[in-house]
Amino acid sequence: LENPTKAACDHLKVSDSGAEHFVIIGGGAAGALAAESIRQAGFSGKVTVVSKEPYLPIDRIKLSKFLTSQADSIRLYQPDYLEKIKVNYMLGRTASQLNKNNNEITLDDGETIKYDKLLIATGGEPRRLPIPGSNLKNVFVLRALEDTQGIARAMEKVDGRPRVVIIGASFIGIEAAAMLSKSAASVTVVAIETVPLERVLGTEVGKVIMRLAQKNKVDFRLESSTKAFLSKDDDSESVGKVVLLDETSLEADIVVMGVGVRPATDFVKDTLPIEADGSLKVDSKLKVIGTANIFAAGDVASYPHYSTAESIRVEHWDVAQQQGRIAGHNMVVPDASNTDYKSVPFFFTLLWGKSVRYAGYAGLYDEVIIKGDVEGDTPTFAAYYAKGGKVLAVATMGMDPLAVHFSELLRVGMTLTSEEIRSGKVQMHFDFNNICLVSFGYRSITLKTLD
Amino acid sequence: MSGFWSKGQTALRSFVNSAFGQQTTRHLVGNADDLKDGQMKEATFTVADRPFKVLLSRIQGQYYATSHLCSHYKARLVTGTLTSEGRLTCPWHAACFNVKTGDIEEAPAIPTLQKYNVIIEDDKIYILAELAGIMPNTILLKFRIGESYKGSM
Repeated sequence: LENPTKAACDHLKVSDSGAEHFVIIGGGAAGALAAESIRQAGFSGKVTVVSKEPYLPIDRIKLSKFLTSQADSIRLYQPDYLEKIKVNYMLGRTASQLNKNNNEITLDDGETIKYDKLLIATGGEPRRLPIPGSNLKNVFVLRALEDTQGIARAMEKVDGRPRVVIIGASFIGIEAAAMLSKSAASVTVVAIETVPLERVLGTEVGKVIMRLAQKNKVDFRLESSTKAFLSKDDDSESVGKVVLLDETSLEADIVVMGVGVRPATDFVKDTLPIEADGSLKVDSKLKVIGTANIFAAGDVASYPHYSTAESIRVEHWDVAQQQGRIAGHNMVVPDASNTDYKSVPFFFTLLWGKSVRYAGYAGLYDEVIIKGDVEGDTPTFAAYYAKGGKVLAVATMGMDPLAVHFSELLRVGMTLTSEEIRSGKVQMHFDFNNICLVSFGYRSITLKTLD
Repeated sequence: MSGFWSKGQTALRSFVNSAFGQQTTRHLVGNADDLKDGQMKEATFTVADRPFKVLLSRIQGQYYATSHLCSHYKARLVTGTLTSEGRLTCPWHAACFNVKTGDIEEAPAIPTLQKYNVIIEDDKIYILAELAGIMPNTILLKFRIGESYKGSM
């Protein structure tokens, strides 16, 4: 059946004849959405997006899930729409310096661009382990399309089925393992944790993911780290071996490093205050603290938590998009009409056909309460992350729409206690017929008293 | 050649529009008492043999109609969460829409939902589908079809 949708600015007659110039550095989720949002808010000056990537904005999350990704099959916007809303993309270009006093950005080739307002949305730079051999051929990071396509080409080139070693058991590492496990001869994940995804999801959920991976012939070398990459005996340029700290080694044709990202803020380090993690601190309107006309969104932004206001940085796709949307809006409208960014963080991943959803923010938690089945062949569960007796986040598998429902609860300021969850007296309700009905009185929405 | 053809189509369409005016068709999609406040329901209607589905929702006595699939990865929105403000959150990745307007409230959806005007008459729910033009064997509805994504996530 047909499912009509329409682009947000489809009905607008966009003009760019105004004198003002808004510049966005970064063509990822935050930058792309900001450009559209600037137009939606009625801005009639020029909008320029400087993007390191040589293609128009893509649905980046697919790069670690689908090896066959192509720029035109995963794009966020049709090129004719971007033309219609008059957003000028400078592709394959980077900013090398910010001159705040002159409202000017210097690009890689020395060209300068004047801006009236600037959005920094440069995202994260994937880390490479600073160990011998990390620049050998077929040692990949996974962030841009060229990384996925490089991995795909390498997978084909290797004689026979390639042996893959993945460094890191966080989301990129585990998604890469899932993406490659079908076509590889072997996939081994090397990580310092005791179970995959341990830091974010905890030990019990990590074990579920680990069993799922093992069922799909992924091996783990956990509580372990990598010392060096060695080349092949017959090809000194290509990786052949991964040497671990305990001196054991793994044969490898392809290595994928999923060891985190660093905010790509080098080009402003002399002109803007940079946080210890490399990020830019913004207020709830996403304006960089201490500046008059510079905004930041996405992986580079440390922003006030939606309820506690502590400064947090969240590398989620949804967060980057929504921050871009709000930053773009705030760049256009008068200060008094600015919108606060206060979304509840949400992320999702797809591992061997199983979807994991996560709603909330639990940077630190002291308790994980599991409800449901984590042992069976088809794990179906919700894991609640709590601190000081207060539930901060939930991760679910096979429980839709529980995570979304919980996210709505947090948004309206409701709190669940770990005691309520543990005792079973109160349950999250996820029968959709009832959800709609009960959503009307927030106090009674999702809480169903069992006895 | 394709450029010429599409120009030709546009010209033909504008001729048809000027000759016949914008066409709005009315479709019966349900009974008013099918929905209580806070409920959603999928309904089907047909335009020139093409079946369309629509998501009906009721909030504080008012009825609304939008596309029935999420514009992100096409989850069925009827399984999502609707609030009294008209926020409809997709059960898969938390994309959130306003059912009154079709607009985006929250990422990761980018295109908005198509919104249809609703008429209640004699306790029946009708929606209005606006047509941008009628061509032989083709009905061009006034919206773009979003990029499709195959498979579930």
